[in-house]
Amino acid sequence: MAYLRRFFVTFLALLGAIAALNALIDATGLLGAPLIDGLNQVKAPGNDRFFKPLAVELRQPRTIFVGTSRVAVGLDPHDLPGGDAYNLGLLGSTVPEHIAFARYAIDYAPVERVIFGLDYASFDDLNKYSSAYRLAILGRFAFWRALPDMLISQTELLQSRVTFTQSHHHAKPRYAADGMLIAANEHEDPDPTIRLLHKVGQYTRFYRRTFNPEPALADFDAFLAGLPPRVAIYVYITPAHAALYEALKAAGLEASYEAWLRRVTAICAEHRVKLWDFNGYNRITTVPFATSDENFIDGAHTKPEIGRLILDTLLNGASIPDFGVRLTPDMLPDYLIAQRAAGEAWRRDRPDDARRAAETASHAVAVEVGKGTRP
Amino acid sequence: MLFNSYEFLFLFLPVTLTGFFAFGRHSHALAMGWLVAASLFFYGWWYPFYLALLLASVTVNFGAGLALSRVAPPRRRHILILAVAANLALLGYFKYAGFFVGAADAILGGAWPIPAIVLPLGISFFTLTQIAFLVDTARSQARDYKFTHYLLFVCYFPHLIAGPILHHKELMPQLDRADIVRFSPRRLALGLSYFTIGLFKKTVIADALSPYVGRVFDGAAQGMAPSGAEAWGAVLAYTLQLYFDFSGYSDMAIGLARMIGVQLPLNFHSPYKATSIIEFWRRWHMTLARFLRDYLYIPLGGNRRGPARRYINLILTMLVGGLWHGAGWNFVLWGGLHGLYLAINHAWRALTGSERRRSSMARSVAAGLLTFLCVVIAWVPFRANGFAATETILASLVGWHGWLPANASVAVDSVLGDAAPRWMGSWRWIAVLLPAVWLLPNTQEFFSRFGTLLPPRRHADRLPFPILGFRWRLSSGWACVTAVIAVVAVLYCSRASEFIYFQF
Repeated sequence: MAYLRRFFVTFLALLGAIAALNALIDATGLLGAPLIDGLNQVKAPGNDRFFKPLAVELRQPRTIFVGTSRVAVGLDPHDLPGGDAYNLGLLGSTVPEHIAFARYAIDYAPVERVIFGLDYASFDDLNKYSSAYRLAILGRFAFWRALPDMLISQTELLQSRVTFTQSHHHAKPRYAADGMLIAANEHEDPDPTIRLLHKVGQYTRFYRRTFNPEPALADFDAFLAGLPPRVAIYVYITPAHAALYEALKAAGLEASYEAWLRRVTAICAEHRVKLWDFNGYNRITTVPFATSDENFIDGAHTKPEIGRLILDTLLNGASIPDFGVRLTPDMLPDYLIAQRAAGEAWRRDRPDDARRAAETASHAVAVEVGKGTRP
Repeated sequence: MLFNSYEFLFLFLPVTLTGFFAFGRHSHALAMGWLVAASLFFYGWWYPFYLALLLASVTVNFGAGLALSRVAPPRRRHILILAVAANLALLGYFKYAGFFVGAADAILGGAWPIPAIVLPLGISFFTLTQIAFLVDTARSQARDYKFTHYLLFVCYFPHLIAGPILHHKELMPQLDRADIVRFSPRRLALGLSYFTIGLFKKTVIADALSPYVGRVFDGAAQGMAPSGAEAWGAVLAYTLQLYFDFSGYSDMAIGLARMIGVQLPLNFHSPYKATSIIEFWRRWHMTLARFLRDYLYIPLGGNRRGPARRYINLILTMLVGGLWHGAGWNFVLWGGLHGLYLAINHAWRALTGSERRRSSMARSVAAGLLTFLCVVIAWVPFRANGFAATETILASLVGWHGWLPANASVAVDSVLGDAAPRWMGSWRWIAVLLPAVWLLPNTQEFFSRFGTLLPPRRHADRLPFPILGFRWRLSSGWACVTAVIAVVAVLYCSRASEFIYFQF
């Protein structure tokens, strides 16, 4: 009996101390612990798959933004009046993840609007779910089921340490309370050209894999078909710098990209959902490399100012000259021809930029060695 | 429900134990009924629909057992064939339908749709257990048992999903004992500590190795060719992951059973210390090896029909063993390799008479390393997704794609991203864990002062450094140490992943 007493006293004392520490620091900001300057006012970046769905359950937003890091960093919930929007964009995520989290938000919050940013790379069937994705978190009583993770997990202990260190040094927070990612992918290099070319190389390496977008397209189709009537959905293709098209070219995926665009357009048309394309060659995406930081953080991620234009087009029908095209099956063949011509024009008008992008992509293919992150 | 989940540790287990001992104060039958209910709840937590399947299987098999025990021997054969066929049909449908339809498609060029069937958890385990029961009943080796005891024998939650594969003679007589329903602090302390070691092996060690393994094997399945250093790192990491995962599960099962005074058989006895493949199979997944020997190898004729037939029987037995692990050609290849290893090992022994000779230290070390290498190579098809990935990894192991990542034709990092752990990380774990599995006592040896396991118990191995042969004690100091280990193990439960053997 003495053994058991000693065992349980030690076990509960240690675990209790860890739980108390994690509760005090409250690294996710979901426990409602008071903010104490120098101790816990700057929350750790954390795992977005973990804290974002729980934040949705707690904040009960009416509008959610869904998509990859392009959405997470590019759309600011503050741009919508009412303060009831939440940015559910997830870093390096895939369509099955977007759908799982969007469905969760629709089921557990009074969501009326879904703004869904599509990205060709996220229709990747090889990495269906990120290793960080925890399906178990989603569902009924998610907050209560996640509570042990927030109190007695090693991950949370590390997050508490990061929160304390960041708070102590008064560092810049990575996420806003409404889920928006602040200054993501800020490459160390201050030169926007280098940042952009880095992305070209990274995407080329990613595209080197042969992935099949069909399963994710089927998931997307089913998601649109199953949306409850109370939810209005706005779908758009996220913009990236024209240089990133060179990555597609180098990987031989131009035809695959166009086929994907046709399928997305057909699916949206079938469900009578408006689809906007902000990608391709337009005045925002063809900005010269040297000044690309006017619109882009790094070529793959636009600045919130561009996101404001996108939201204005999607929600208010604003017509922004040469940015954003409404895609329909009827106009798509001509649109694709026009885009190919626009690509040629861009290469002609910006020969140095086009050459450097093409060289970077070819180099990434030739060397076949790299340390690129999943876009 | 997973043993390494919060709901199991902080809700299910305390409630089950409290209820069991509380009911046990009034009635043995009531306590047993509670344990049955808890076990069924444990199983149904995952997918309640398959609870009905489990119950149907148990009821039909118990009925068949009753019929077998009551009819004259000539008629038993027909009932036995029918009952075993029904079990195999159930297993065949849920586990192998997709595999066989796919194989038929490939061979005959057909286009039959491959059914998408969710594999019921533990179906291989509970089917095997019950087939053994039926065979023994037909041989008049099983007594008449109560239905609740039979239900518990099959569904008892510590072993239901991933073994150890119990023999009815091992568990059912224990359930009759009056003392198991009485609370014993000593048994609880022992079981809790045994469980803690298993939990630590699973959450802290096995789960930490998983990303290093997945990164290279999944990369190979996607057409990436890892370098030699990456491939060896991943294959050795998998060798260790599988051992710590599965032996950790077995330790947890043994500890859980021990908390209420039930003893389970040993399932792992330092398999990587084996100095021959024959010895490996006396140390690795011992209850499966025992089942295959008693219910397949011996009925096939065993070694009674000459050496050639013996080798064929060994290979056949291991091929079935491979297929039992999974419905895929990779598992067949793994089983076939082990069958071949065993045949060669037996032939070598027959040729040299080496079984009777005492080995020198150097000879034992060399034999141990060769055995380990053979086992490691065989794990490649066991883990890889398909033959192409197996081929890629095996080629990488011999340096076909360069030895260091910089020379690799395609770096895996470029595909899986910076978030993927670097290949050096796996080697750091290997450097710590390989000496540990070779030089340290295993869990059974660690608790050898106490009767935790069913007889026959295995003798502890002689350790090269006896100073490392420490043993657990029922003392205050060990209580604190065990509690700290438990806290660390619980902290790592947040990255909960399923046990590898759940899929089998």
